[in-house]
Amino acid sequence: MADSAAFEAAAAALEAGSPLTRLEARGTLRIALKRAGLTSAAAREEVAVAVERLLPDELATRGVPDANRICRAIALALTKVAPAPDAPDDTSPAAVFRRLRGG
Amino acid sequence: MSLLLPAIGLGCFFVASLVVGLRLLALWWHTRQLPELAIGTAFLFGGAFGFVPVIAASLFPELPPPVDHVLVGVCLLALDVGAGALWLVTWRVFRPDQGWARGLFLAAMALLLVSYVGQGLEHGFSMAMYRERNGLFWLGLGTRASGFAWGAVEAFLCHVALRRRARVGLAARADVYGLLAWAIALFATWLMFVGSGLGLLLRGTTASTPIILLQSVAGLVAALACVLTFVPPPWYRRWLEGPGHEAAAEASHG
Repeated sequence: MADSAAFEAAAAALEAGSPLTRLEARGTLRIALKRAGLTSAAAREEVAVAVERLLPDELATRGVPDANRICRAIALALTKVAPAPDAPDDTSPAAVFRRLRGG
Repeated sequence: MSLLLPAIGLGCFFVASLVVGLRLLALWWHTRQLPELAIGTAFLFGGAFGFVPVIAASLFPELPPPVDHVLVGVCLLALDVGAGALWLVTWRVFRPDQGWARGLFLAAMALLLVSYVGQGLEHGFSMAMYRERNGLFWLGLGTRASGFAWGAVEAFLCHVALRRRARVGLAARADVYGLLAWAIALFATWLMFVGSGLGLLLRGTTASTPIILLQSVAGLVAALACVLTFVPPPWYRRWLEGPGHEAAAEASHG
């Protein structure tokens, strides 16, 4: 599955704003996304939640200073990413089973 | 114990399969979506018209030949159609973009076909195949059981991811537990297949007390989990949509 534009933008902002290398920045972001049950194909809004709620802890664990400032910079970078176009049908497993139980 | 325990366990599974299967096929009539059709078919054919009659027939080994042949031939076909539908829906819902999943589905269909045709040619579909249990018999049983195991694993992995999302407000409780109930339903059904296999392998019959007990309990659990997944009662629905779910549900809808 390809990395989303939101993931690319967040990873680039993390690399630019921290002492992490490109590989470290992408890996750290992937771990934060995984802890949120997401992958690097996540949409802008999903990446934003993971960055806000989980990335500060991940950066602190790695001894990266000023984690909150970096996360704010990433959030700003994410606002410049175009939102994912509305899919005609949500075909995720959760949406399928929601429909099947009449939710 | 006599026939009471299997009657309760398998009876509940039969009723749940029938109700859920018909409800999903009725839903498919309106939506024309694959998951409704495939899961409805899996329940109606695999559960109600396949598995339960076969297990019930195995408790009465002295069936006259014409009844024997027709019952086994039709029920085995229903079982394979139901299992095939489940393999299909697991691939299309959980791994639609993965080539390996498509390959797995196609391989399973080929194995089911070989097993069905082979058993028809060899035994003319009779309970004798349960006594002789050749390689084709185990191939069919194993392929059907594997479909339920794969579905259970995929649903459980999805449940784990959704539970993580729910912690950060990206998934609704109803979605988290909907997938868990589906995983439990498939796991319990897989246990019923395992019960059949173990009974035949170790004791030469499925009509032994421990196997009947296992299948009855698994049937009850599968029936309950199916109901919670597809026709949740009001009290369960209220719990799923209880306090705190609104923000998460909104987030999960984007």
